[in-house]
Amino acid sequence: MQELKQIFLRAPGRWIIAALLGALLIHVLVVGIGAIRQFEDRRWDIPAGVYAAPLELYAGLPLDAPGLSTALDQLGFRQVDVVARPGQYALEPNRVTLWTRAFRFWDRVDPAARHTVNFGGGRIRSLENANGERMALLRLEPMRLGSIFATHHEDRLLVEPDAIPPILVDALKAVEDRKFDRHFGLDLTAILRAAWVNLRSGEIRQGGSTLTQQLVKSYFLDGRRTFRRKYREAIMAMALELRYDKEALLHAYVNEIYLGQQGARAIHGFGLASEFYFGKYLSQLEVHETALLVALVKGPSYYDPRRHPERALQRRNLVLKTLAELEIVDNQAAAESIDRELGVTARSRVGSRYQPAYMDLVRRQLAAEYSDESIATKGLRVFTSLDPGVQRLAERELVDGLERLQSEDEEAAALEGAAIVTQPATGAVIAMVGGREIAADGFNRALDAKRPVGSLIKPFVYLAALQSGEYTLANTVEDAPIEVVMESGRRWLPQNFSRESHGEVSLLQALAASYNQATVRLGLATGIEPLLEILVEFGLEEPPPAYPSLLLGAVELSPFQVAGLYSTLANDGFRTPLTAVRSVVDTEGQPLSRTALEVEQVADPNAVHQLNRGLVEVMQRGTGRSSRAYLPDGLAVAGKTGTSDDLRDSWFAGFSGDHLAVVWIGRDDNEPTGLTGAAGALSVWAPMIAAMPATTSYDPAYSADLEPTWIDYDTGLKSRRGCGNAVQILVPEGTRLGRQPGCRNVLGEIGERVRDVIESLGN
Amino acid sequence: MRLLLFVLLFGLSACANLPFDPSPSPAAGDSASVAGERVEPETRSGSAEAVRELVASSRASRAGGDYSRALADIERAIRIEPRNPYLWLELGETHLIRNDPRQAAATARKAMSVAGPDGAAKAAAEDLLERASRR
Repeated sequence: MQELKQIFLRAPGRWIIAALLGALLIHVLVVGIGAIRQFEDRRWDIPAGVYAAPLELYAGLPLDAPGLSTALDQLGFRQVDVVARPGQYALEPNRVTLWTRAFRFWDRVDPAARHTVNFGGGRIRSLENANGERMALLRLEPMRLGSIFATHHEDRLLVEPDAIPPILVDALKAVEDRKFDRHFGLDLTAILRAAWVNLRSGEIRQGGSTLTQQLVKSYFLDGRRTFRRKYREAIMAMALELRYDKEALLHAYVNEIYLGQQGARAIHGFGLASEFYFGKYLSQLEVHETALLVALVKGPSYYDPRRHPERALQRRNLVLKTLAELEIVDNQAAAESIDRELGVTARSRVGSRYQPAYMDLVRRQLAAEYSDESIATKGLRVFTSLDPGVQRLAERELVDGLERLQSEDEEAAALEGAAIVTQPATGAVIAMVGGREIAADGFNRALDAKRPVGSLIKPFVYLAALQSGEYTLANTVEDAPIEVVMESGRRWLPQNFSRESHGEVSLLQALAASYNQATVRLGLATGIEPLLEILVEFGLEEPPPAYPSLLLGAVELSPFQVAGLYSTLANDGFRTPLTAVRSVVDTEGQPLSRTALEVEQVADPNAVHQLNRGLVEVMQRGTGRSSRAYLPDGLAVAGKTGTSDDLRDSWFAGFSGDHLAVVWIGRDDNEPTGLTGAAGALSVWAPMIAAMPATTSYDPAYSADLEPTWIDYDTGLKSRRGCGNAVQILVPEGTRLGRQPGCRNVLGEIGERVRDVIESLGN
Repeated sequence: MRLLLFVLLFGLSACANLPFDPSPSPAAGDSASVAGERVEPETRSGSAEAVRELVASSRASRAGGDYSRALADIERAIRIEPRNPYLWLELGETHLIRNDPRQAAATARKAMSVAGPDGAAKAAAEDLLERASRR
């Protein structure tokens, strides 16, 4: 003792001890301040809320009562017998009554209100407001898709402090941390008790962690449970308790704690967990459901209700008993809850909210205008064009299609694919599928898989010819072997897919049947330059290399780029940039930016209309005709198949009156798939378009400078309806064509002569 | 007799061109005139009410100087009826008023391209185009 005193009183000893204490203090301060800093960053990392396009209801919209019911379920509305408050709806065979929730759109706030929607004949017949007055238009609140974090790409369904159900808070404290309200970050008795148990068993068995410690653990540290970790955790917990009040910590806890796993995607926070396990909003949960979520805190994998239902049930009931003991719920309620089944949904319905491919596009389009920092600014709301119904449809058709196509070919690696759906008139991207694994946040093939487009390029070759004024689809071109000498001196001999040549054929047939030799001939006659110009004008950022092989699609583009090109075709030669973001609004509801609808005429609409009529023929008689098995009779569509060398890429791009869709199928390792555009991509595209709600026939009005005329499909000579191989196309008014033998339209010819006479009389 | 023959031959000249199944075109009796006068939007299906309401709202916003809102409303209408030339014309008028003659001209051309046989719409589009190029 005396020696110790001596050491302490001696100068060097004193300094050493002081230094050690000082170092300890600094260490604690550093750890503590670091903890507060990180907490602050994440706490203010309030995600930008991203929303899908709102469903607009109006008389005439193709929709039935069950369809609206599905949409309302997706929005978190509750189906009831009698509508009593916002967020509820009642379903009858031809009528839906609903009470919408207040929602702040980008242009105004819509208050909560009652409405009635009447249906008939597969469409909405009328809309009425609360007073029974007729309404023209009702905009439903948009579905919230998720969030964009600047610092970490995780998903949250943020629960605001006043939306946290009190019973959840009570249950958490009761089960995890009874002294939460009183302690300073650590619960010493709990620690001592746990230490005693652990010491006796020789390993770490009990937790003894407060909610604050659990929060710290989930924020900063990995799952290692060493004493060193516990020590750091303790310091951080105390630091947070010093700095923040209990409400703030609880709020963070409710939104942060790890509660499950969906593939590669971690489920954090009670808001998301509520959806993930029960398909409900947190506010909609019943006692036994809340109890299950609280039970999961201890071990989401170990107590996974889908994989280990017995364990989950047991622990949940333990929680319920605890709640009864502490009189948080009365005994009867507890008993009733214990009797209830787990109630988790078989498959997570969070899938429809989680759109990694589409969100990827949204992020990229936002990044051009907003820095990461400003996105991270709290409360930005982003309104997009995503149509959840079409998205689900596209996902289903692609995934089902790939499975079907895969099974016919056993040895090869997995087929992959991508799909994009747009509304050409507005340039809105309404759906995007980046690959077979819908929920995976990985390689987005729709945006980033650049593949040779093959025959998809041909419509633009023919458009160049039509725009030159020297051709119509009735002209002929020789589909015969051709040798092209390149600049390097090498020779290129393009072959037809069937290895046969067809002689002199109409441009229409060469396009519809996708003849390579005819196309090359035509393209060389017109020149590569006009083709390059068209591709750039139609949306490619840079012109592709000007080799003759470009005429057969020797250029690598992503499905998104292809969609941009075809969108301009579908839009009569008017280019509108493809956009996913409609507007961005700050917390106050002030619009920060709005994507305006802008158009630019980049081609002669008359040439485009003539071409598109040819693309309709692709689907009637040409390489796309197998689509007819899927499409309803009255639905006219236009499109083009695309197959690259050795069948490595299977493409289809096509449009109806309202929608454009591009589908690509291939392998990531670029090995041949054995699928042509028709056999592969078209077999996904066609059922998708057929099922597309509210899509109409492609039947555009064209100017008086064009006139319809019947020609023979093979020869291009003038024919008449119903005679032989007659097809109707558009040609510039006054085009004179030779006559198809055996298919003369005598009356028509006389009429033409008369018309000529009358016209000449007028001059 | 000659009149009869003339009529017959005239009728025959109509056989020269059997048109496509005509797209439902906007009603012939719409009140439209050229020189900048109001052109009432004709719509083709049950969405008429909704579109009219949006156009009315858009015009009100435009008159009040809230061009952002005016654009947003007419764009909503276009989403419902993308091939209605009158909606594109409304859009063009707003672009003109907010001093974007380039977009006004572009939307006028777009209106023309979807107008088809609707002479009134075409005339209104040409008028808009002319006013836009004057700026």
